[in-house]
Order: sequence, then C-alpha cells, then structure tokens
Amino acid sequence: MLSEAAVLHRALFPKTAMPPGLEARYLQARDQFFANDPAAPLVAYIVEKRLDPEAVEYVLRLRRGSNGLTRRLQVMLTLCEVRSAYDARFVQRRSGRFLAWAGAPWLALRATFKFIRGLYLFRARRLYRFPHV
Amino acid sequence: MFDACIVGSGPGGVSAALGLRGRRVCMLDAGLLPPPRPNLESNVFDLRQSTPDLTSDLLGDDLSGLAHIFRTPVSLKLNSPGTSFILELADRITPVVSDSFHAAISLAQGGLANGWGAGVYRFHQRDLGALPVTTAQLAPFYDAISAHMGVCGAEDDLLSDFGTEPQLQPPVRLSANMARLYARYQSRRAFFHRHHARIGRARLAVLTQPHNGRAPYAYRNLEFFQAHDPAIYNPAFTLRGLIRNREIAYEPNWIVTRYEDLEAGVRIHAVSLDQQRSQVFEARKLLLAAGAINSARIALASNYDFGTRLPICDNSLAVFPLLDLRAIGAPLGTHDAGVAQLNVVLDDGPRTFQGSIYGSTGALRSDLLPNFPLPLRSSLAFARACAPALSLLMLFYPETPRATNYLRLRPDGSGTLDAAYQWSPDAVLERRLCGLWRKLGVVCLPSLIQHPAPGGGIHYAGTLPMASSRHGAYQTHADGRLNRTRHVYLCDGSIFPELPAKNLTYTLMALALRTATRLNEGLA
Repeated sequence: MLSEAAVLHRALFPKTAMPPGLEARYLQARDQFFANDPAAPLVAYIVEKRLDPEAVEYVLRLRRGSNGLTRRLQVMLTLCEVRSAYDARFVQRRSGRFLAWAGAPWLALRATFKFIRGLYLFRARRLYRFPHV
Repeated sequence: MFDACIVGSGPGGVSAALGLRGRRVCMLDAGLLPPPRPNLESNVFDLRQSTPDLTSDLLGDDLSGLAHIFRTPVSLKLNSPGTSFILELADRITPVVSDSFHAAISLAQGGLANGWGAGVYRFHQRDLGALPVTTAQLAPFYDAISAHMGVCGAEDDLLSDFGTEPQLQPPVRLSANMARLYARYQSRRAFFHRHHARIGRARLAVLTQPHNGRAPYAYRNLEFFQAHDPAIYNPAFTLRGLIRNREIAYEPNWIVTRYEDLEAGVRIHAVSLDQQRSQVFEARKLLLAAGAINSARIALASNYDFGTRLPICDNSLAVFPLLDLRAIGAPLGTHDAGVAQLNVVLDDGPRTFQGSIYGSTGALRSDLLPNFPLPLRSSLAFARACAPALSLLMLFYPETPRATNYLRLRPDGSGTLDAAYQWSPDAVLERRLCGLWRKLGVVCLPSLIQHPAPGGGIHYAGTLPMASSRHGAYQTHADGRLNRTRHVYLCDGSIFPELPAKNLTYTLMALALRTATRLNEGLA
C-alpha cells in the first residue's frame, strides 16, 4: 500500500518518482507539525481508499479556507521545491509564452473538473462525516 | 558608572552610540545572532539548480522553515532558518498578547532591521506632524546617517517626496518587468500627476557601489533566507565597528526590565536571556532604543503602572499583485533584485500613501500556491508561468493614534503586554490605485489585494510620543528626554506622535543621533 507521502507526492507530481530521502523528510515534518491534526482521519481515509487528494483539498479550500490537507500538500510542495530535481516545475527558466497562454484554458477546465470530482468524492464517500470537514 | 547606557542595538541604538562617541558608553542588548549558513554563498536560483537537496539550507535541519505554514506569518521574510533568529525567543521573553495585533519583536543584534526593506525616506515637515523638531534641525543628522549607511536611488519624480541625499549611489538595477512598467509610467507621467500619483526608483540603504568596506549588492535573491547581506545596511554592521574600535562596552544576553531614575543617574535592572541571573547597571544617562513596544514595556514597568493604555501606531499594509500579461511565460529573471525596485507615492486629500514594488523572486513558490483559486497542481503551473510577469506592490497606510489601538502592561509581574488594534483598509483608494495600474498595462484586481493582520507593517511607533506640551509620564521632550524623568531618553520609534506612510527608520536614526549628540555635549 502506498504511504501518505507517496499519495500526496503522486497527487502533485504524478509522473515523477519520489526521490530517496523525501519521504523521511515528510515524516519528520508530519511528526513535528501534525500532532493532533484534526485532518488526520480524513487524510488516512484518502490514503487508504486512494482517493484524489488534490480534488478533495480544492473543494475543502474553496469552501472552508486552508485546512489540514492543504497544509500537508503545502509541506510536500515545499520539500520538493528545495530539490534540484523539481526546479523546472517551479522556475520558468526558458521562454514559454505560447505554452503559457495555450495552457490557460486547460487550467480552467482542469479546475472545473477537479472541483466536480471533489464534490463527487465528498458526496459518494460521505467525507463530511470527518471532523473539521 | 557609565556616562550613558543604551538599551538595544537596532537602528536607534547604534545611531545613539555614534552620537556618544568619546564617552564611556555601555550597550545592553539581547544580541541574538544569525546562524551561520556556509552553503548559501551564491545566487539562490543557481543553487537550486545545482544542489540536489537544499532542505537543510533553506528550511533547516529541524524543518523550522515550514513552521509558518501552521501559524499566521508576520512576514514571509522572517520564516527561514537563516532569518528566524530575528523574532526568536521574543514570544516567550517579551510577550505581547492580542487577538487583533500581531506584534513582531526582535531580540536580535541589529533588531528588526535584520529583516527590513531598507527604504530610506527623509520626512517632510508635514510627515513630522506634531513632532517638535524641524526638518532643518534634522538635516545634518540625516546627512551623517546617509554617509554612514550608503544610500542608493535616483533624483526623479520622487525627489520632492524623499528629499535630496548628498551622496546618492546609482539605483538598483531594474528587472525587465519593472523597466517596462517604469518606461510606461514615464510616457504617461502627466496622467499620473493629474491623479496625484508618482513613481520613481527605490530609495534604499543598499549599496550599488563599495562603501565603508562593504561590498555592493550582488543580486543573489537571498533576502528571504539569509540576514546580514553586506550590501543591505544592518545596524549590526555599525555595532561591530563600535566594538572593534572599543567605542562602546557591549553587553549581550541582557533584557532590561526596568530603570530607577535617581538624582545622580540611572540604575538599570536587567535579567539574562536565560532568566537565571539579574544585574543592575549604573549610568549617568539611559537611552532606551529597545523598539517602540519594548521601550514602552520598560517605561510602564519602571512606574509599576498596570493601568495606563499607551497608544501604538503601525503602518498597516496592503499587498497588490500586479500582473503584466505580456510577460506571462517569459523566463524568470533569476538575477533580478530581491529588494524593492520602484517606489510609488499617492496623494489622497490630506493623506499621502507610499509603496514599494518588489519582483516575485524572493519567497518560495510553495508559500503562495494555496492563495490561488486553483487546484494545487494547476496553481503550480500558473505560478511558474506568471511569476516572471508578477510584481508586488506593498502599500503602506499612514497612521495616527486612536483610542482603540493601545498597549497595557499586565499586573501579574510577567512583563506581558496586552494589545488591541483596529484598522480597516480604504477600499475606494485601493480600487483607484488598481485603476491607475491598468493604465500601465498591468492587471491589478481589487479582489486579490491581501491585507496582513495589524502589526504586519512592522513599523511600530507612538508609544511614548514626543510633544511640545506634555501632560503625563509617557510623553517625551523635544530633546528626547522622557517626561518626569531626569536621565531617561528615547531613541527609537516610540517618540513619533504619528506615522506617515514612509518607513520611519531613517528618521528615527537621525533623531537618535541628534538626541545623543546633544547629550554628548551635555555630558562633556
């Protein structure tokens, strides 16, 4: 079964293998900052059922603001950002004007899809039963 | 007994020390130092490309650089392990408790100026407000501070707002984005002037040429990760020189709790940082430069006053994202300036607002991604493409004392201050400013403007204001002496009766130098 770190990493960087050491850093951060996190049962359920954390987080963030799941994904993003393997994901080093503009409608479509998917997961999986959701 | 004892090593403290040269001066200071960061020697974007894992350097071995994700950040600039020392221990040792005011207090050597934006603006007479000092009286002290720090900028449309510097270094280099913005402004100057708005190159205490043994700005974009860039003035630099030349006796690791103002001098009570030891220091004069909040705490504690509410002002802040659509998808200028590149001044009736425009190369992208109304992966793609087109305008509001905004000392002996602060942004003005940006071809949506919580401006002032007529124990004479004391002087932001939208640091340094210079003559 995939670990929490692997599930969150795959949600953010689906085509990239998690580099060695990243999971240990994520666990270090989790132990340090997520003790008694009310979002822990929701995250555990997402990991167990292999739901789409990005879609669930998006709906939660739009409806309730930043939450435990947002913070876990943000920790994963930050841990990735300080590694050179992810530099191209964060920093535009070469000109990509056409792709940037051509990608805009795709981003809008994707946001809509993720929102609908998140709503579906909330209803189908009754995610509202988790505390602080 | 020392001739004078200075409390605090921030901009006011070191300026006072410069004015007291030749006297026996002691400086009591908490004096926290930045941790060594040996691996951060070159441009952060070059390092991010070449170093497989920068977790330890940018986030810390203990991952303390992630802590801000779990609490309200005062400023993203104060979160990394290389800059978190600026606010370290203050929550515990000099606490301010409030639901409405997020105070940033520094126990670091150099004080809050370790993380300042380095904006240096001379005050007009109008900016000085009720302060019983004229700009003509301050001018020689501004000149002396300017020559000491080194100031860069240009004599442009903001000259009348920021004043003339005798030795102005060339301004920091503009990024492609800023250069375009500035060029468009220059072609539409008349329109902007009709709307009482002006834009100019940033006036900064940043070196663009070598000065006093310090190297010029190297465009490394490390401002969010490392303090003590030699090009960006830090009072700790002045302190080192004073210690090296044996011009002061520097006593680190002390927190001053109170003073006794006696006939022959002052007794200063201090406890060690670990709160295991206490000691009394004696001096003929005491100069409080612990910052507007901590100097107020010391004054209240010295009077055992747990009832008085002291006023507090801060320049509240609005952060405007400015997006230049034509630059979306362009390569990021990884060697652009991380400090402010342009300044904006906007008159609105009797009020003047001032802002600084920064590029978007400073903070980590991950800090900003949840702010976009997109799924996180989409936010990442959006931020990567838009970062080269994004600038941030930090607009400061002027502030006057109000009954709702105060500090009060708790009677439990803990030294804790209770604070309350109310502020609301001016939506009409902010919409007007967004409209002006659109004239420069920049997208600026009012709905995306961020307002950090009160206290986020980190320009604290007004707790022990200087006034021409004084009515209580918590006002200050024109010579800097605290009313109803014989030997206690104020040398920090506490003496400003009100705050213009300009950063007050330069002026408080000039005032501290003036106070100390006059005191020096008296001590002779």
